[in-house]
Amino acid sequence: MMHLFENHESMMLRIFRIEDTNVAWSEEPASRTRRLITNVIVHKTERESEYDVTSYFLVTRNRFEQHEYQLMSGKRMDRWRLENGELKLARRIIDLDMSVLSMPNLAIFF
Amino acid sequence: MNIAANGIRHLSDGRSLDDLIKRDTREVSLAVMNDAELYEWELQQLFGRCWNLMGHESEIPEPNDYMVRPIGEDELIIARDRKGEIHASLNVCPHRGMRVALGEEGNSPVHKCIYHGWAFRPNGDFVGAPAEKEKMHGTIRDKSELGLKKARVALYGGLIFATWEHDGPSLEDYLGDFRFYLDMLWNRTDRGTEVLGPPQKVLINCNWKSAAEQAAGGDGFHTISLHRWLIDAGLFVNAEDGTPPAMYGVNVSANGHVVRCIPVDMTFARAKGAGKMSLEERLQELPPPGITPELVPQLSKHLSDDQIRLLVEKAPQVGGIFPNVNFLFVYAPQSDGTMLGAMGIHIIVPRGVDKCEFWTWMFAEKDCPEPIKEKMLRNAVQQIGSSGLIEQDDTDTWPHITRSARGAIGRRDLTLKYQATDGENKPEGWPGGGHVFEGFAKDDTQWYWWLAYRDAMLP
Repeated sequence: MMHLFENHESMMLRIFRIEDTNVAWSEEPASRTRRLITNVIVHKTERESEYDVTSYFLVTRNRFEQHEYQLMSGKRMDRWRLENGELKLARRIIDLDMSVLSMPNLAIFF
Repeated sequence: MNIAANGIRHLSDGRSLDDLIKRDTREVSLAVMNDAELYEWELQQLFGRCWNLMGHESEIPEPNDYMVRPIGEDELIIARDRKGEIHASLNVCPHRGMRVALGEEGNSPVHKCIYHGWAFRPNGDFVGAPAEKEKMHGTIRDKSELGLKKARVALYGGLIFATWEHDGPSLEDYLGDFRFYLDMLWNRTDRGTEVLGPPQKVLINCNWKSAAEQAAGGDGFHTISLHRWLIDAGLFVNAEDGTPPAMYGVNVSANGHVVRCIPVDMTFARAKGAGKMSLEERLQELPPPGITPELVPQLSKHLSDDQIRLLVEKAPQVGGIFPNVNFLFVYAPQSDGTMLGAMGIHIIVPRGVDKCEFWTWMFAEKDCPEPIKEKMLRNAVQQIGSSGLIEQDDTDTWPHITRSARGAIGRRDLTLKYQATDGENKPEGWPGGGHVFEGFAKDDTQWYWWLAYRDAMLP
């Protein structure tokens, strides 16, 4: 199953929604989130300026006065591209570690 | 709770459904959103007797394909046998109560319980137990009595439904007048629809009815408040007469099932002037969600002229099948100026008095060109479901209602109100049945959802 199917346009829309409207109710008020990244492995690729990077993440999300965290862990498989001395994310595939997500919506970035 | 042989009629404190659902003033007690006794009542009499959506036949195309699906808190194996027929059986071993199928889906000619090895066919029949000579299954009951408990199955437009009521109304009767509208969505092309992958599943900390009365009930008003950002961002625009977006339409309730037929030009700037276009022009320029130019010739083979006109001019965009199904066939304007669609369906699965799961399938017509299918999938994932830019606000709202329903005074004194109504006003020449409400969406379809709920709960 697929929970996210993003492109540049849709990500810009998500950012616009959060930044430039004050009625993005799934994140208004904003969640308290933390992204813990571990097990980062960088691989060379067939292109000198591009790297495949895998990493594990744990995202904690807490809303309102909830007593519990909404948790999401998973693996990110990235392609990073070096352009004019800047590393840019070219592609990201995320494998989530749950079948039934305990986070009711994915309104934040992973 | 009074569990008499003829069914439950009231809660243990004496409250009946008429105390909870006040028909004279169109109010519902807030207590219904968090009540353990009522929840048990729903599992037995509502989910236990309604037709429940299990999925789509394209999810299990091959012989021996199966998937595990819920009716209330009961779990069923939905399996296709060698002849292609689909069966539904309780996923509980009649030996010691173990779950038989442990995965979410798969392919197997035999479902074997890992605990003691009892085995069952895709149709639920008992094959046998290990050490046959030792008679693990005993001699008291015949093998024919030791199969998985079977539910009744019926398909409509490729959608698979199941019920425990073997002698109750047929699915066709259960849908009744609603079939006219469903056919415009699920029975309009030569090969029908297919799922674009397995369903998304998320857990929401809310009573299932917080989600169902809104999503399956056809709430219109929440669009202009909860989904306000779509308007602020300019994605939804007012109609030319100033009506807020997505609010004008023809709302229909038939047998508790709901559909909101909303003209495309009442929501999107891209569609302004659609009212002046001919039917043929609209079919090309602003095709109904999910229909591409290649598919247009197929429509007239399956739909009446009235249905085609309705599909084009007042597309059935959102709706519900009682009790817990919500479907969306919505327009999806593309950045290149073209108009595509997003097609999805949800079920709301009860998981305790204050929890439910929200499942989402994405669809396309089978005959839709492959590159368009991918765009449709992208549209659907980006708009509806877990990360959907529209629906992520709904799932964050419902838990607050269930929380509100825990307070003693709120439970006792507060009611949910469905009092916005102009009464029935079926437009002249309207081709479909049901209770029909034209105009600015009011509370009517949601109120009829509650009336259907009341009926479904009574013995």
